[in-house]
Amino acid sequence: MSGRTDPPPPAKARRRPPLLILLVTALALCGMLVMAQRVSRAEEPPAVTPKSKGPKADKEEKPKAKEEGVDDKKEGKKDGRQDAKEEKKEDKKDDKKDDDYEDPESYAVLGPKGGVPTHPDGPYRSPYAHPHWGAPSKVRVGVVLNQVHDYDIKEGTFQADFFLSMTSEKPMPKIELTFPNGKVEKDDVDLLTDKPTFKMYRFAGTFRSPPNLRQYPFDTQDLVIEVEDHNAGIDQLQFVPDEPHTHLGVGFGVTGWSISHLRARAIDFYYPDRFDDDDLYYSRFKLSLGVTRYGTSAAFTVFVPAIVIVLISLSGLWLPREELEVRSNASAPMLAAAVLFHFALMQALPPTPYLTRADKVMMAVYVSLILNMLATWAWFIFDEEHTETVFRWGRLIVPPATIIAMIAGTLL
Amino acid sequence: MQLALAGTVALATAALSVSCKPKHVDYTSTAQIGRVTVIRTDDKGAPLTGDIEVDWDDCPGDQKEVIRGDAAFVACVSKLPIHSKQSVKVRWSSGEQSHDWEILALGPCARTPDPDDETSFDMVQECEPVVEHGANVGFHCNRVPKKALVAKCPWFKRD
Repeated sequence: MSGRTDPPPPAKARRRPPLLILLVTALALCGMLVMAQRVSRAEEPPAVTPKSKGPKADKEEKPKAKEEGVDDKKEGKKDGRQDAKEEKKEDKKDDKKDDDYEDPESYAVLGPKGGVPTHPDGPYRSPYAHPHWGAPSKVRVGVVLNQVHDYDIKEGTFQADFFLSMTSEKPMPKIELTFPNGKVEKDDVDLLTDKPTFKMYRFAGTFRSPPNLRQYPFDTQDLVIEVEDHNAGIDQLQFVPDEPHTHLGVGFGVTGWSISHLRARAIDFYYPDRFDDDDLYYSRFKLSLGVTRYGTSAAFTVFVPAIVIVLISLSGLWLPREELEVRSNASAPMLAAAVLFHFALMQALPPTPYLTRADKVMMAVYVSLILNMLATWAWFIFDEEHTETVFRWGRLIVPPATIIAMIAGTLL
Repeated sequence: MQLALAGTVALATAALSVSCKPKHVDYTSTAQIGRVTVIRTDDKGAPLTGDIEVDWDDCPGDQKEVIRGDAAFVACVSKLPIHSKQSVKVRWSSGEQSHDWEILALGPCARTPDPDDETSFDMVQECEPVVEHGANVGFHCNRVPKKALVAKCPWFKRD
């Protein structure tokens, strides 16, 4: 027996564990800190988004997009004096139509003690209700999505460009569309047609939809566009999704995602009381585009690196006991790699108050690595005469436990 | 040992090349002609290109597509009655990057797909109403073909 092939003397080997344990514990703590940091970030109260609803509250600041849109459209489409004259006539008609619109606040009655003016006769007492309007206009809303791009899952924002048509049998009230979950700059509003029973817009804006990441990386996200009128409640205006006129544009696609569904709903929305007799409901149209992450891309991004880390770590179990140092070093660097990989994954996502599927897979990876290290540390705990038994039991327990943990992490 | 290694590599290469090779399957079905629109004409007014709306009435859901065809195809389809059911020859193909289907013939009219065509489009979806508290408040259109659709009309499959 030569000195070169002898196993390391027990005394020397037993001096190593504290260093190894220190290193591994530090790495494990690092992993836990990363998780804790994420959870604490997720538990922070969400930023409050001010809602500018309060019909007419910022009316003065509203762009005259409608008029500008009409002018642009007409300038682009018509030439010649005759057309110009007809255009003026139509403008006058439209102006007259707007002038005919009775402001519901103008006939709201002030109570004996002052306060909020109300409408005592109609179904809604709110000063924004319009009892003189009659039956509400049922407006069919159709949307053709031309583009959705720059989807930022961390912020939950995306850019959308779309046509929106509004069709009704009864003339509509004054329409001033707003987007409760988005922002459309006035330059990005194009009113193509403005008739009492038909309106056609083209919008381009930024919208916000909180992502649901429980199934990440096999997640489906809903990109929502919400539309509401700034003034009219459901006593004047009720949206109805127009299925035959709601489509995705030709060649429509979202980079990195496949389209799973298109959904449109009209809801009657109620704001918590902002003042006395604030009882008016508002019709809100919600278009929801479902996008699903490509499965192959998701598997290669998350599962393949995680499995490679585990496999490299497990390969140490088959090293002979003479290669104790090599085996020890097969686990700790892999733990470091797992922590860094997990950290990199989380950087692409917003904080969540729950574990994503990728988090669960990484938890399984940590469990596997820790089991592997425990199997190695057992050599230092038990007497040298049990080394062979520990070696055998390590191989019998750790790989099946790893498989179970990975399956549980993937499926649960 | 080296021979075994070389054999393994050769087998793996062969398997990879077979799996990556584009494949296609031809199907025959029936569809309804929704509309025929001549897009461009020559100086004499003869059609050069046109769009034909094809409604897949026999497939579950609301499946329709608009295909663009050349002069011969448009001239031929124009002679067929609107809303008539015609036999259709469809080719489903799966390449390295995507999968798609193309209509190769509509009734007696043969069509040559153009790989650069960006105007033909399809609306493969299955829609159902969204009901909340008993009231119909909208619709939900599923864009991923369901099993029943793929079983009846297999060219819509995505894998």
